[in-house]
Amino acid sequence: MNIRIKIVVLLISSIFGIGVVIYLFKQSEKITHYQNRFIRRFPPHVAQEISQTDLKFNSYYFAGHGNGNIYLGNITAPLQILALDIALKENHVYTIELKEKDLAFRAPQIRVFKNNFYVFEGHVPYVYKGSIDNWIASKRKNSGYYFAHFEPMDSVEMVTRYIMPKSGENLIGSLNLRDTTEVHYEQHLLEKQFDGVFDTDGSLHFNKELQRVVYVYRYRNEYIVAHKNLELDYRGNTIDTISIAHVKLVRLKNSTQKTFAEPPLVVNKTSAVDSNLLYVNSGLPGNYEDENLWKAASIVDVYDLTNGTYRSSFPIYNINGETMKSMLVVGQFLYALIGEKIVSYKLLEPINQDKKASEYSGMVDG
Amino acid sequence: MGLKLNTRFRHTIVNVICWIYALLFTYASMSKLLDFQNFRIQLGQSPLISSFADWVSIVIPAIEFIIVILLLATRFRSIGLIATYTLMVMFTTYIYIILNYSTFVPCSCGGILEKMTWKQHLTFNIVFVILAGVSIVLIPRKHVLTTK
Repeated sequence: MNIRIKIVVLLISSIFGIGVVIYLFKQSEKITHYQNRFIRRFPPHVAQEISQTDLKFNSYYFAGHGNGNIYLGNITAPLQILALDIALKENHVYTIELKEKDLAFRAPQIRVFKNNFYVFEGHVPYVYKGSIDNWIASKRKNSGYYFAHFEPMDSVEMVTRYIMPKSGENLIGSLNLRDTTEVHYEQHLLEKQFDGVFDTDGSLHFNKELQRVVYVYRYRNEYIVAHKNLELDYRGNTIDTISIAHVKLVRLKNSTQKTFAEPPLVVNKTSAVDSNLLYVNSGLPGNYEDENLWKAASIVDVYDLTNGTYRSSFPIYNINGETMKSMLVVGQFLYALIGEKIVSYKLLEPINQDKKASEYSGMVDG
Repeated sequence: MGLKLNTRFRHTIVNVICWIYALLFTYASMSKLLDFQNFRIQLGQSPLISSFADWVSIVIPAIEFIIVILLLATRFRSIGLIATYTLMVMFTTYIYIILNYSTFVPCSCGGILEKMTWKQHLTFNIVFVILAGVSIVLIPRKHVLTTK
């Protein structure tokens, strides 16, 4: 080989080498966000724990947020509301007063939305509404179909998950507190796979910023995004591969009730929405993941609701062996209920994974 | 006489570089295979090629291993050096993209290289790319033709 040929060989090798790596990089990025094959991305330090508060009880649930507070309801003290400031430093306990006390009371729940709060019980079914200024509520509805989920979309329009009489199947519907006679529901939002009860189970959210209803299936890798009028926007997929619910049921002897024949495969345990993002606590480890991380933490996957893409994942660590029960995201803070504790995590911009590392402010890593 | 010395000198340099590379790649491929599970997790977490971690994790140590054989078998040394050069260019591009274009900077590679920052790693790689390039330029013509 003379020197000229050698230089040409070097040049060709360089172009080939650089080209291959750039091509792989572009393809890998596209696959990760748009056709993920169940390979999570954990950008380092994107969710950092900032504070922890002991609530003394493990019976709290998230009722909502607003005015710089987050609100917790308590299953064992159904008319109490605990308001915590966003730093989890100060708290106030309010007791809700119901004007009409004539209704059967089983396990009512509370939702706080902007300046109003709602007390509802799907199995009776009734809804009370009041203002958070005085925490006094009056009855707005006490008839109609049973429902199991309830989220305010504005001050009068609520989104619910109805339970159809007889079949027991789930349907997403809306409920208007001004006109309580009309029941509106959408037959085809939830897609039945075998019984329409267990297979369509999931969690219901309303995203204020995008004005969308979001429903995340519990037993399959799908979420539904719909307009306020319940018209389907699109169906998105979570990154795991379980498209058909793995639930086996048996009928109980001498009863019409059914129960699980084996533990069902929970795909999406709990979820939250805020601004353009959907946060899903997944039950399934992906490829090439560290088992120890799954033993020590709950993994939250982040999706962009504006384009249905997967963005990234981060862990929420267990406390004294207890895993995260539910979560709430408010701006850049994520709150998680873990055992008797509430913790807050600060979410940093790279959870979006949409820019070069150097363009994220304050993120320099070695 | 001068030409002969020169050839011998070139020969020695090429030899040394080949041996260094053989050592480096032996070490690199062995450390990957010995801790294969971990290596795959790291690739899966790489912002660059996570979607291809499956086959890349096997192909890379395999190529490294083949290159070692090519470099040690004098007959195939020039092919080995070209492969070495190309692979090092690829590694260097990889690090360059991680530093400048990826959406996050992951924690670094395994083995001794773990102690290095990504910038040091980049410099280290560039030096090795140059070494490979130099040896390709220097490899005596005779050497290529020799059949042993």
